[in-house]
Amino acid sequence: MNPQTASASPSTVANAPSAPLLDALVTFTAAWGPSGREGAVRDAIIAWLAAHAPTVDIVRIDALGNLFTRVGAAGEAAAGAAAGVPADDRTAPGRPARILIAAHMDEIGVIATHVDATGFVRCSAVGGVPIADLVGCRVRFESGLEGVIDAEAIARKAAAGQTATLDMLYIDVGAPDRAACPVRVGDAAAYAGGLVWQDGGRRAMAHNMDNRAGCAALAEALRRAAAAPGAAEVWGVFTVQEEIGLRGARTAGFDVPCDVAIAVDITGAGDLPGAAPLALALGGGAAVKISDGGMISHRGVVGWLERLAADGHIPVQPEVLPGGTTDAAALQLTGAGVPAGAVSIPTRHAHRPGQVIDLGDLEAAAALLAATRIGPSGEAWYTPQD
Amino acid sequence: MSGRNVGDVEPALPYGGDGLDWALLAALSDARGVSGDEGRVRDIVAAAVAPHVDELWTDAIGNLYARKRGDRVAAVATTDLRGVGRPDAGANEPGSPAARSSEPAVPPLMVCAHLDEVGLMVVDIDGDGMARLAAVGGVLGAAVVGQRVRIGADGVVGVVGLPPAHATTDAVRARLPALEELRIDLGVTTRDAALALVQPGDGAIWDTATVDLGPTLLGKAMDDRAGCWALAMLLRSRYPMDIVGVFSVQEEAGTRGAGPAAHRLAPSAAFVLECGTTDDTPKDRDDTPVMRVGDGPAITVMDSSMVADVRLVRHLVATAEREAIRHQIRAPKGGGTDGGKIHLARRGVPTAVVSAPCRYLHGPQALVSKHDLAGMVALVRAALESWSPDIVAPIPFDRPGSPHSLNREVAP
Repeated sequence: MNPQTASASPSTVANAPSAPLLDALVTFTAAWGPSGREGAVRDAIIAWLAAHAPTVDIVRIDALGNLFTRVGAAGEAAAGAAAGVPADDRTAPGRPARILIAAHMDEIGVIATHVDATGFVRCSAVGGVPIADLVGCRVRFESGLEGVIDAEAIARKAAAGQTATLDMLYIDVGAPDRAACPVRVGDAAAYAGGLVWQDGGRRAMAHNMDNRAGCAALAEALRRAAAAPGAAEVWGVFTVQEEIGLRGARTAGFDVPCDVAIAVDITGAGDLPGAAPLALALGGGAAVKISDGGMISHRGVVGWLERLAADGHIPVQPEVLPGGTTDAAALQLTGAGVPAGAVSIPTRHAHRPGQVIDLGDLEAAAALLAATRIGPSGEAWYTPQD
Repeated sequence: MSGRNVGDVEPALPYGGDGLDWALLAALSDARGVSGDEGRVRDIVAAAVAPHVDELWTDAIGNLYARKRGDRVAAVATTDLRGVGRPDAGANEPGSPAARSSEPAVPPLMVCAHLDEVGLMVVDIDGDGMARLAAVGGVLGAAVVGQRVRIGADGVVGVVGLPPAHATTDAVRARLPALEELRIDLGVTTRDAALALVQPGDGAIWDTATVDLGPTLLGKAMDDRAGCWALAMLLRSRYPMDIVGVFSVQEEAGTRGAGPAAHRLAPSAAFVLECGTTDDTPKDRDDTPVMRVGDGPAITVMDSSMVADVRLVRHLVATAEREAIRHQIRAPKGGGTDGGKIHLARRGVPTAVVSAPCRYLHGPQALVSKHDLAGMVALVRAALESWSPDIVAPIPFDRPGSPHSLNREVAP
């Protein structure tokens, strides 16, 4: 799917993100992947890495579907280095710091619970879909089949003044009856949509910026790290099932013991008419998370990320998000605990079918994540466990 | 177990179901085992499976493990799973930073069913000798009002008070009673007399005896004694690979037992045998029954606690189709199982859930179908007999096309 060209493409903008980063955004947003069904997104990421960053190690895909990638520290034999990493080398003298960066691949959606006699599909939520506002949304199943969600008119009338509930909703996929309906119980669907450029190529809108924008930032960060490795070893983990309970991050955090864990995800934006107060604005830079509804970032990690941003002239803004959380909340609590933080991309209309980001913020997030390869060694807060 | 005399009216059960030990299921359902107090149930299970398994042990929180050695597993490969593991048994995946030293060299398959049932707990005794109660797990007040219960280790009889009909206002009639309003009448008149019989902390559960209704069974704790029973039936057979049956504790109180069990076993895959709620009684709306009693064992795709491993779902469906076992897909609605904890253990465990459909779950009289139960045993047995480690082999990343797709058209 090609972004529409009604607006100028980002390549015409002065401080445009790199071409590979834009390519990642285009291909990752085109992939379908509600929670638990991330295969196509993972394939798109692997294909992008093969095309743009072939020296990034693709280490493995785990039992849940998490994709583990790795860039070794400078001086380490690059190719196949992962295979030589001992199982528990974190006490080895002189070892490089290990930074784990997680970006979740999944998006929210719905899943079919029932097909009625007249061919309409009933559904449950996959993750935090705004149930009351699903009416009129187009959704897409894995096969490419699209449908539109509506609510029973009588039920809506009876519930006047109340919000629509899941049991009022149905998906119309154009099937005349149950037998002819191609949807089966257990088939999942995500928002239908696509990527478009806005504001002369400075902004972009897609149905799944959450979290394909984060995946693109991480992939690009790995590409830059692989081109010029730093003192730290960087593991990029593209996780599954974040939207239904940070599930992939839990097993990934167990799998790859690390010194610092960072999530890259979208966050909210407060620069909207009538928005609740929130000091996050599109174009203000990548957000460095101070806290959200599920975690408080490690103060040392926050300070480190801010210093990396200052040193690299990367625009950042602090994030204090009142609700919601991200993979870092699960990573923080793995094993005996891990210093954790998050880099976020301010996003308007999160969990809605048209999610808008500023491409300068995306570039800043990629640059800041790439800078983590410098490592935390020497930082006052950082004390290796040896 | 009492029962109707259906004689030759009722046809033989499919899948060899007439050869299954239905009396064991009745005994399991009748045993009292509210979460945290699973000892009586565990003893029955242990006695039933002991003659058929190679090892039997319990852990610190009361999970019961029954290990059945595979007939194609070399003797040298067996690992003592009871201890914390050999320090050198780790690297079953070279290059993994997380190949933990306590993981067994040959991971078994885990098949799990929970021992406990929902119920009540005595929390205090009033001055008049009436016991105050709290729910253990998801119990509605309506499910206990007027019910005879048995309490504590000695099975002391009590009754949950029922408001007199002629003194009940319309407002009270219109709503379900809250558990906090209810009390257990022990038939005594003083606090001291009550305390001689029961103590705060004692579990209480419906005094229900299983009845055989012919094609169906009615009993109190089919959730999840039906799963325990099916697992006990499965452990009578030998399989190509090592199986560890786990009879877990405290599922109803928050799926608390299965996580430590999965962490200990580090299984290569897990099957959870459950008893699941249906919404299949007649209703006005053309909406999902979730699953239907009589439509066969139900395979979970997704619930509140887990997305089932797509490869295991495919294996189960393919097995059922090959063996002509009637089965259904559970509608992806709320509700969770031990699978929610098992699949997140360690580096992640491919996990599937197979449920026996049940009407009136979490109540004193739960109804299950013998056809469904026989089908569940047959389905999981066939799935284990045709098991191959390749089913859950790591997903390759050097070729296009993802095995993590349920879609029948686009799957490779």
